[in-house]
Amino acid sequence: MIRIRFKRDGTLATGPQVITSGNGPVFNAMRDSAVRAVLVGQPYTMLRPEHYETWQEIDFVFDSSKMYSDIPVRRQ
Amino acid sequence: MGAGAGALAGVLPVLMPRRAGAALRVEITQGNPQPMPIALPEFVAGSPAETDVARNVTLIIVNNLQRSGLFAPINPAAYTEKITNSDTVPRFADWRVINAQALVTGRITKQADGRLKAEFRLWDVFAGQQLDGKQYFTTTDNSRRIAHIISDAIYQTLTGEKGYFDSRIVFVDETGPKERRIKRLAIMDQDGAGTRYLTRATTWY
Repeated sequence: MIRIRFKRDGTLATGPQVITSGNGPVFNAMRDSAVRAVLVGQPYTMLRPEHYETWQEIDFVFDSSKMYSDIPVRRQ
Repeated sequence: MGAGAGALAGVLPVLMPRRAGAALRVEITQGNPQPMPIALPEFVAGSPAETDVARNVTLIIVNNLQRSGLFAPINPAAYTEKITNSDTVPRFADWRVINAQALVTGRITKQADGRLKAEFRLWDVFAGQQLDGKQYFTTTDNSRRIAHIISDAIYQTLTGEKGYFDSRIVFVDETGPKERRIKRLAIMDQDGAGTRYLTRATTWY
């Protein structure tokens, strides 16, 4: 889970805060990939300024279990 | 898995009811995997004598990552920052402009004992931080292997899966006409280079 605080213009007020803890190369890669996706996606102009109070803080929960189900996974 | 980077635009969020004062919760259960744009400027040569090795090592890494299908190396013509020292922190803004999500810098230096030192750093351009950095020492004729090992390190850090670039394929090499086929057992790097024959030419009928 990544917590994000937005500015009114749809950019991030602070760096994404990773709430979930874990370790290992897969967790690290997923965590970095999710943080990168949030950063690359700026600015979130689909968020309307008049509803800023609603979306100024959002928790993004990334669930990878279904995310890549259609991609063949290379087994080691 | 690293291909999930930059996928937020394609996600299907599920909005959950919100408690008073709590953060809005968005569940992301789908992504839009795309090859990750990665910049690999030519490794810096410690001295002009290492220029060719540095160029070849960089090229092998670029080709490995490209062939995996999970990475999209960016055309060097688009680079605005010239990396002249792999120890300094890159100007991330210059790499964000060309949409590079990851950046690899490196250096090849010949040591006093004749060995090569190969160093690389893997940078997360949007987070503005170093993800990995290692150095290896090897003999000069082993630079291909170092390029594969660096490719594996980059692949594992960004995808979470073990790389396969530093591996070899054993195959049967066939030559000659159909009725006098000559077969030899051979071994090559996974990218098709460095073929060596393990057996002498044998005619099998």
